[in-house]
Amino acid sequence: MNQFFSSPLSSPQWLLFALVPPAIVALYFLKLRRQPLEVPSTYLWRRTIEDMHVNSLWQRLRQNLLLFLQLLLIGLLMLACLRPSWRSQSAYQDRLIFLLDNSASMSATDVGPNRLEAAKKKIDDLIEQMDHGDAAMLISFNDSPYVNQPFTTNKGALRKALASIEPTSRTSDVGEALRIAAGLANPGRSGEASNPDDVATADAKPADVFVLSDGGFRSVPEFSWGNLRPIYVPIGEATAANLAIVAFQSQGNPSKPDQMEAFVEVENFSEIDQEVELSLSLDDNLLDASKITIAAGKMQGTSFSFNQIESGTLKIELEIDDDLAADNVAYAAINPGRRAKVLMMTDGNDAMEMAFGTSSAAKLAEVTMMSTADLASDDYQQIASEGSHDLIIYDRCSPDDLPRCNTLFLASVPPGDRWVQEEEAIGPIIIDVDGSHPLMKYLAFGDVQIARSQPVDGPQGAQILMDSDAGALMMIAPREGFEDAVLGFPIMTTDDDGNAAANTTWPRRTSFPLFCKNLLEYLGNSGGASQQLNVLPGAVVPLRFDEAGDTISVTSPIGATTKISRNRNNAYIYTQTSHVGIYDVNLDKEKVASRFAVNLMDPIESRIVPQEVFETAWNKIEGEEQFKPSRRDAWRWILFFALIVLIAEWYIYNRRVYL
Amino acid sequence: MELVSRKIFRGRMKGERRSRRKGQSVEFADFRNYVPGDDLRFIDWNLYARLDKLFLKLFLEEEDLHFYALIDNSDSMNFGDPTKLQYAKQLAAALGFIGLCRADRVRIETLSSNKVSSAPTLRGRQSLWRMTDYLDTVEPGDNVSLFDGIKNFSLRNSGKGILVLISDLMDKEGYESAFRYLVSQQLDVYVIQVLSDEEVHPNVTGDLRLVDCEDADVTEITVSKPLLNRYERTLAAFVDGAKEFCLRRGMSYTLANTDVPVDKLVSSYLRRRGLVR
Repeated sequence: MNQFFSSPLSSPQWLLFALVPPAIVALYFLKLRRQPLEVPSTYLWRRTIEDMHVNSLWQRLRQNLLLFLQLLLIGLLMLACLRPSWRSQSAYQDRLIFLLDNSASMSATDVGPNRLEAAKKKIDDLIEQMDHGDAAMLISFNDSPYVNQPFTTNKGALRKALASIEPTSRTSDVGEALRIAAGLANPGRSGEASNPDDVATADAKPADVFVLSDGGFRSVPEFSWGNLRPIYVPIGEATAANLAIVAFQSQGNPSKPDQMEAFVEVENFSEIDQEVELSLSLDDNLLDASKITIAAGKMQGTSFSFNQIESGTLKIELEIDDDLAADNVAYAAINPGRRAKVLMMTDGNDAMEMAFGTSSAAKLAEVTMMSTADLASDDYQQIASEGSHDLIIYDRCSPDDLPRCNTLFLASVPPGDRWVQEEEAIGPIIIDVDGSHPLMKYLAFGDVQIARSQPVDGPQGAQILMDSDAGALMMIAPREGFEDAVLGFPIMTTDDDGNAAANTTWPRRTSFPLFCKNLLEYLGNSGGASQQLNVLPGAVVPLRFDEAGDTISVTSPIGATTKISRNRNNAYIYTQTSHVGIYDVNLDKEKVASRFAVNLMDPIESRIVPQEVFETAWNKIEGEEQFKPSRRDAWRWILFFALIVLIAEWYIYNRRVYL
Repeated sequence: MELVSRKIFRGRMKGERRSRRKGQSVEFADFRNYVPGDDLRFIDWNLYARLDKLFLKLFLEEEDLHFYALIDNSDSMNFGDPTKLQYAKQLAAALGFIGLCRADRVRIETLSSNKVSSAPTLRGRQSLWRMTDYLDTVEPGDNVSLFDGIKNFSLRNSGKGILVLISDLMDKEGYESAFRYLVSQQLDVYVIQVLSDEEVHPNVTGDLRLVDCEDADVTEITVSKPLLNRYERTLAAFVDGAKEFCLRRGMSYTLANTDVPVDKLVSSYLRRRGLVR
């Protein structure tokens, strides 16, 4: 038909339908079988109807009221079958892709019952108005996308898939979801895009992409829409208020060895100052509580002191009823200390040896030294291949193959062509340090001078930890569950005479022992009081236990137990960190051997005010705040009206007296 | 109770009601001058002795009253609950019994009776059973037009008295000519129109083919609220027309719904109309 009508009936069906009204009229004229009734006399009746004939047209109409009602009913049914609707001028294409954010911030309750349900309702409306033959695809995404329903014309399947989408506590990243959505619309090329003879591998299938999200994405996706037409529907109220625990950590009190300290930082994402109560509990027993006032948009920290404990579960709770509840609680697991096993391949590094030689370092790790000549020895080979150590430091040397553990390279790079050492730079000036990385936390480099350096360039995915005017001086990159860190300058060097000499003033600054501590704690997976694995929901957790068997089991906060086998890197990889809370690790024994906490300490998720603009690397899409499905079907109302007509007809047929 | 006539009629036999004629009762009425030929037995000799003039003593005469009840027994009377005919028979019996008790001459007939012998003339309380026996034999089904029925009645009964016509007046030829015929008779006429509730408030719905029970005349109607309203107006006009017609001609008209019990009708409605006292 046209854009106002989209009939589900075919022409022959219409033809059959069209026969009904004439049939009704014909039946009326053919029959009208009146029921005979014997009366004392028709004398008065006859006189009555003689009077009535005076205004006969109206009488005739009234007499055929049932006929007209029946014709009206059929007319309404036919109109309903035409499926009339109001539709805006910008009709959607016949392929729709729904990207539904189900990250933690979508659980906010600023729109009832929560944002996810509100978004699902909108998608449901859109599914409802899909035309016959329109295909749609449903993708839910948080930190990773999931195709809930591939392209289908089956509205029931779409609705079923839609209903199955549950809120999660995960962070959000729309990039991969967009790439999945683009799969059909922007088909891949057979070869290089610049090749003029290249042909597309498939016909492009344009589609409308509905992004239903609050826009709190981890990163701006590098994505080109191509044949997709994006429609961004921001979900949530601009007035949404939220307070969130953005940091929670506990560690031994350096000044009082028998005390521990817990630090908590709360950020106020609302527009008014708020006073909140924080309560700290250990294994569900209240330890302490404190009241803090946080200015609008600001962060406020506080600390709690309590007696040293060997292991347990700390829980901090924000006593407030805000729009997002998931970030009002945070957990920290305190595990019995574990000493890291560190091997240092060096021909002499006084600074580090001194740092590792302190009693504090000894608590954290057991550091063994080997000379660079030992790289070829059987001992080293065994250590490297077994993965029995947590960290190997290569001071101005490089092995033939990377070991099965984390590594730190000082003034050298891992073997292979992934890492590149650039030209030597004299006296580089440190520009920036990534203080958010655990390896670099609490470090200040303002007074550090470096004599010689060789800036490094890491493989894809490498993160720059220290940047200088000459290039990156420190980078870290993941490798098969391990991490490789590379420092672009030596701590110690040898002068022309072969004597050891300092290459930098760093070892004399306080940041150096702190760096060594971070090194042992982070790359060495060391324990100590601050050994707390703190992961975001959805993150992958590598677990290491020297004494464990081939499998361990992990119990999630909701009570689901998962058995994990040791992988070839001597680690247990746990992936099901969807829920916020404490995860217990059992080493095939009844007793809980270790715990780790999953917390939604993510300012991006906690900043729940919806973004008005959806920004990709090359486009900005204005959110359609007042988005309403533009097509409004009228057939329900018409059917409802037809039902009323039917009831009226039934009533009149039975109680004609009253008309 | 007694039946009352607004006219004073000459009875045939001695009855219990005062007559215009002077007669032989014990009640003194008047004196008048003697004229030759008068019965010497009624001369007041005491007065003659005193005044030396002949006066005749007149006594009040007591006579009987002729009471006729004319029942319409056409098919149309066989409707309602109780049927209009049954109601008419009860009414006739009630009025007839009052008459019998007062030694009136009671005669109950139907419109269709054309033989003189068919309806007995009754007198005296002991005739009650004959009256009821006769009423039991009255059956519906004799469809005689009102005019013919009244004409036949008038031919049979030339006497004077009270006539109570009990009918539904549903005659397609109209009641007017029949009533005019009655006016010419020297009768005190009471018309009691009996209607059943289904005629006053018809409870019908739907598309109907109404069949007249007497002449099988067919009228097709589609029942609607306005139709029923108009029917009721037509009925009211019909009733008012009959009442007006009777009033103008010195006849008394009463509408009786079969819902109203006969005893109430007689003791209350007809008493108000002056038929009974």
